[in-house]
Amino acid sequence: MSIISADGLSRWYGEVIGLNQFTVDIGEGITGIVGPNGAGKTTFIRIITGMIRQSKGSVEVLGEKPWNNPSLNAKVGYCPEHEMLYPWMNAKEFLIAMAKMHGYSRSESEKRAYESLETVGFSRKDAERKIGGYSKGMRQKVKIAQSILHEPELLILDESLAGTDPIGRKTIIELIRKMAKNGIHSLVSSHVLYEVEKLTEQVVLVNDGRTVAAGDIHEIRKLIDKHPHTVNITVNNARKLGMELMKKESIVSVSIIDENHLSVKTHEPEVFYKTLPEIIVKKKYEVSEIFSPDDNLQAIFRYLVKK
Amino acid sequence: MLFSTYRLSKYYGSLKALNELTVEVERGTVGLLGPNGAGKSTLLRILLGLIEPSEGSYEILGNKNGRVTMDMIGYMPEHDCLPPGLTAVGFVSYFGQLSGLPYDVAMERTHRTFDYVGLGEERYREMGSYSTGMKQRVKLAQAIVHDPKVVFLDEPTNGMDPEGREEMLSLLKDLASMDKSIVLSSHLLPDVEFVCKNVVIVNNGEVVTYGKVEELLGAQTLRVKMYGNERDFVKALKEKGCKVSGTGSEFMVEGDDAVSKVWNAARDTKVQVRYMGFHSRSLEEMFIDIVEGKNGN
Amino acid sequence: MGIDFQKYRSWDGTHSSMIKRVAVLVKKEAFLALKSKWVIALIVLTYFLGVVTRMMSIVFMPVKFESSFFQGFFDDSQLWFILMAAVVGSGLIANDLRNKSIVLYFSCLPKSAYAAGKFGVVAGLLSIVVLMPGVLLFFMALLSSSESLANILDHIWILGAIVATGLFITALMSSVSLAISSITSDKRYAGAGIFMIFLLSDIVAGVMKDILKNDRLAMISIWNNIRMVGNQLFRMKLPYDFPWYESLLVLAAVIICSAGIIYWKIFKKEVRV
Repeated sequence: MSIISADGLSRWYGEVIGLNQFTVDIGEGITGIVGPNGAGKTTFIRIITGMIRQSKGSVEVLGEKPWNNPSLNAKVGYCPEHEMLYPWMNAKEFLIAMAKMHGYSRSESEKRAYESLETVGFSRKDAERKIGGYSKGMRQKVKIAQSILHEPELLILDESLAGTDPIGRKTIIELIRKMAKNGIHSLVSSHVLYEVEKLTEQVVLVNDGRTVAAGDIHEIRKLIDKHPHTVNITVNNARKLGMELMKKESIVSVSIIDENHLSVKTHEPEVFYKTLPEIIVKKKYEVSEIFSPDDNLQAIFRYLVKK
Repeated sequence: MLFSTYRLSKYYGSLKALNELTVEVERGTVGLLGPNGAGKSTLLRILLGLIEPSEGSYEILGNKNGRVTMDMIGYMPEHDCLPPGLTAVGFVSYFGQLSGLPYDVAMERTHRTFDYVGLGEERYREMGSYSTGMKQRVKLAQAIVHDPKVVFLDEPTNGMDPEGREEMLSLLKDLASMDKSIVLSSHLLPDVEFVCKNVVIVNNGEVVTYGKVEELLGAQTLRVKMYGNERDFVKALKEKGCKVSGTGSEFMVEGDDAVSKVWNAARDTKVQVRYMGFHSRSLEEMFIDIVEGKNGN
Repeated sequence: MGIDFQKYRSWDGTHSSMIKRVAVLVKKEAFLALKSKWVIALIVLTYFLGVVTRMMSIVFMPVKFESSFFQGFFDDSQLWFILMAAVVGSGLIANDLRNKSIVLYFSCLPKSAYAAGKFGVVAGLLSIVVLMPGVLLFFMALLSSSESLANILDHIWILGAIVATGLFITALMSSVSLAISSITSDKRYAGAGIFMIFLLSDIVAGVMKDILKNDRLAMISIWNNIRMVGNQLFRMKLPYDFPWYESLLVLAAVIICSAGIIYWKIFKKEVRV
């Protein structure tokens, strides 16, 4: 089922175009959205949370149109990148106020506020202090707590891990995963790619207002046919192995880095990986390391976004 | 010796931000880590001479803090600190002069430094119009224009997109190779792992750990990622006498001659070995272990 | 020659002295201020209304080296002085607080150098309109005078009075504007504050003095005290009915208070990074 779907979405601000025929289908569970600054992520998020309207094209969130749709807003939790906390309140007061804005009664608001604080791992003592004195990581937790007060079906997190210390990050990542298990979908926007990788295999890569690629990270990697896979191997006799591999049709190039290291480029990674163990065992090579620097989000991103 | 502190304490009323913190840090690259509110920022501010300690003493590059030390230190703050009405050239050459460079040297070095950090024609524009990546580069330039012996960096990749982050981290590694000491304070531990050889972990106002990253990360085990029939593969490995742990398609394999046993098992069960390498735990895992362990969380 | 790869270069020269660096600070910020059209306008206005008009009167009437002629410049230009202090001084520290660039200053310079430099900026610019016009006026009167040299030497004390008055007004207004600039991060509030302090104290003093019929209450106004000391220096009749040195004490207190505020805000208050 499609959680968010956009078709030919365009949005311009005067001469500046934020989204240009943006088309994507975001499914269930956790999806990462990544892209350079100014790529259109924020514009897209603003449209799906109903804050602005598209200039052209159609978009649906949880099956409904987001613009002017308060009932949809009640199902979506949004944790924005910018600060929207009141420094003179403490976390408890702030969350109660936000809960009341959702329409809950005083007692219900208090209950939800405390529950949210506990879910994000915020201590009661800190909740009594004024927000003005909080560190960035603490403010992030309050923002996230705010976004889950009304038990949304879809959570949108914009750079919500920025500034948190590793422990805070671990808490938040576990929270997002737990919520996904309970059926709450998340869209996570971040610049820190290895964090996105920790959360999910599903990503949307955005650049210049368009979706450059969307889907499973490894599937995307497989699809980048034009760009051969690089595989680095540490072996006792690099040159010998290199010459042997050079005979294979699936190999495009072999680089001997030094007597123990070689780097191979292949158009057909499946074939290469399937035949490698046989070669190694039969000819008794001692291969102690093998890795592809390409097969991660950072490398895919670098390749697709290169100007 | 890069810096050392002796029973450094700082009180804010009844709150003890630093508790007789004592450490001796060698020259080179060192990561400064710690949970929020643990005293890391307080320590940093004291070393930079921005605040006074309540008790105790410290030395940087062998000098008690003073004018001489200031000139040997470069500082790249975490927050936005650029006056929007100035151009990057005007700004960096100005602070270069304030750090002791004569006018002509300041102008020359400003431009060279911009070339080095990757700031192009935009250096002649007012900084109010800059993107985050450009601003971070200007902040870095300002920190190194006067050729300091040690550079303190606070979250240098803040807000930068992935490409910018990679470039920034490579720059830092390059600076380190030029005999400069770098103190990198960051919550992004893979960044710290990439740049720094040593690490200091501060928690509850004290130094919890100081040492070489390599040593602290501990023993290395063989990690393997594969595509194919996991069950058969694991079974084959166990039959050969290996201890296998892990889930999904990622395993840790222990035992004698584990490497060749993995390849043999792979050939026998027709499985693809997509990744093999010796790994210790990551810096992030180590950090969480140490901090949570100590707190008993 | 070989290939010169774009790399970082080290520098082994001698660092410039602290005095030189403070001079750099003063120069840079002073020139920045002089780019503002308001500052230029105020300078032109002060010279025009203060100096040029007086010089015109010399053309029509031979100048008598009367102290009132020269002291009048200070009295008449009061408003321009206050505006200049507000325009130049308001942003000096406030802007650094707002941009959060004050941290960078403190990591290159000792706090004393920073404070000295900022004071130098506002004092330097203020002296352009407070001190220099009076001195200029004196020399122009000197050149156009027909009196004998001996007689003129008798009046040299007036030059001393001009310089002294100019200096203490500059020092006072610089301290006050710097102090107010350091307590806020919005230069508009600082500017308004500087303006208000002089204006309101003047109004309140005037009202109280008239209601309660007590001349001493004039001391509430900072400017009245300046007038007292100025008149004393110019050997003119004092405008109010109390000893002039009491005004001097009040002014000294204001400068000390301002210094105290600057000390508190810059030296004592911790930098929140």
